[in-house]
Amino acid sequence: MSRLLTIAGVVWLEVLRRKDVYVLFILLAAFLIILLTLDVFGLGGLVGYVKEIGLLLAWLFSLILAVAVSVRQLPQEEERGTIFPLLAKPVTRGNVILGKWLGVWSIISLATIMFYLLLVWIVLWRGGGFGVAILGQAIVLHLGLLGIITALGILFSTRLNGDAAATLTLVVTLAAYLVLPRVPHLIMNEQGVRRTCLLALYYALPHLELFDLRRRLVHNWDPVSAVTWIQIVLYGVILMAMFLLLAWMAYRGKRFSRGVLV
Amino acid sequence: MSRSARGSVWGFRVWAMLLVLEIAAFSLACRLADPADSGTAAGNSIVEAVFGDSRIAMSDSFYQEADTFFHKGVGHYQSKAFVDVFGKLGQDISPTGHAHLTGENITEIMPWLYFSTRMNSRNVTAYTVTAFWLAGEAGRPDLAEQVLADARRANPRDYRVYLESGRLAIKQGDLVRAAHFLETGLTLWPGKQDPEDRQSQLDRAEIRTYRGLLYESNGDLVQAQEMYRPVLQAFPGRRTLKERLVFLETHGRSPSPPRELWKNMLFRHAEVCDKEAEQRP
Repeated sequence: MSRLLTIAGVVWLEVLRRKDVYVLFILLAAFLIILLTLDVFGLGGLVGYVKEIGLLLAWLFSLILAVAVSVRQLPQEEERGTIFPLLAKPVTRGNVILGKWLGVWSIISLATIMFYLLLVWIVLWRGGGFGVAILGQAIVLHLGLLGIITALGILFSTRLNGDAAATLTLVVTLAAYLVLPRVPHLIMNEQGVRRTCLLALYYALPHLELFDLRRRLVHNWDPVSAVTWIQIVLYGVILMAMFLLLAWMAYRGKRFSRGVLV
Repeated sequence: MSRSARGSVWGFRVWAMLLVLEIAAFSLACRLADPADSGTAAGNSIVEAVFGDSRIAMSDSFYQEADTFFHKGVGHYQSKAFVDVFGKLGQDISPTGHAHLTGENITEIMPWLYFSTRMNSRNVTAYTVTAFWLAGEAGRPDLAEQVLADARRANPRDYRVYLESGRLAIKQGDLVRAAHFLETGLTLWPGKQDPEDRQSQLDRAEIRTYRGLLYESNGDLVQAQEMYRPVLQAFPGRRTLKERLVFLETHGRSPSPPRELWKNMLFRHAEVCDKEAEQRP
């Protein structure tokens, strides 16, 4: 465990040194301030659109961070050659994968919580509010989603360079989030191969839309039932474990040579 | 001729050529941009320059978001080929049921309508819906009037803006202004809308009915009948209007104060949403 924490700590230092998190935090604050200054037909006290757009930005920025930080961890170690002294220590490749994932997920989760705190503060200041229970549920599921995306990013980066892994992670994430929920509707008008392909995609890709409680949060609906929520959390844990296992399998047999990605 | 004199003649020719080209470009620009057709707000927008035609899709998307906000996050129903465990979980976490914003909360849809009109100043539906709710439950007819003034500037030839302006004027009790707007709307109908489209037909019938009621309230029953007849030709099933016309023709007076009828017409929009809810399984 201490090995994992040490590797995760190095990831934290690297992310904090590169200042991506600060930049996105400042960007979020700037966007929210711009939203607050909008004069909407001279009406005051409107807060729904601040919640909706603020949450969208928090999601977008956390997704950018998750992809950008996760996919660069392994290729960076290999390009710099620091993977050799790292693996020369009593550290297994499984430790590297898990440590990197833990570091990336924890720092991005912290950044995401900061995004939420900023948004909550602004919404409260504006006179609105969030339900505490649904907010807690939404944040946990959001962090679960980030865990899946970081695991996916690390999986792709075991065999691809950073840019290719980032592109693939984004494509899979967006396809899974945007297309999958519409498949049951789309296949109503499809036949044959197209129908089979859509169904294959539907069951092969992770259902990331289940981790999105923003609609309930924005419109002040009651929390989802505990059973449903726990089922989704468990589904997230299984997906994370599956992607990390695949990443370890892809990484354990990998051969390195100095300066070249093999 | 000295070198400096030749140089100044050459320079003069270059400047003259530039001047001619500038005049030609300006004339062409004036000819290509027809302000009377596009309306004042449409031609100058930075948004239009930046987003191009994609702004139309964005405007529609903002309008959809306003609709979702109005229904408190409940999306439109979509039929599905199957509902598996993922679909079931998705249903469990999505807001469901038939819910509306009411009272002052209705203003929460305004930012999305505002974005919609800013993205596409030709989105007349966004303007008219904004004005309807501002003048109604939001209790801000003054703002509704401003919005419709913007809409008329951006869409001076669209009858729908004048129909909504007429409705607003009736709500405010300014019947002379209402008559003026409705006459203009009738003159401009159908504009760029398809005259065979059912909504366009309904709109024309509505304009004529309001105008007829305004004629009735002025005591001009003959003109009122002239307005109602084409409405009944297009929609023979309108029983209330048919009975009203027959009463006017036989008794020479209104069967009930026109005000009562237009009050019913002005606030019946909520029923549309209820009908949509009934269609859900």
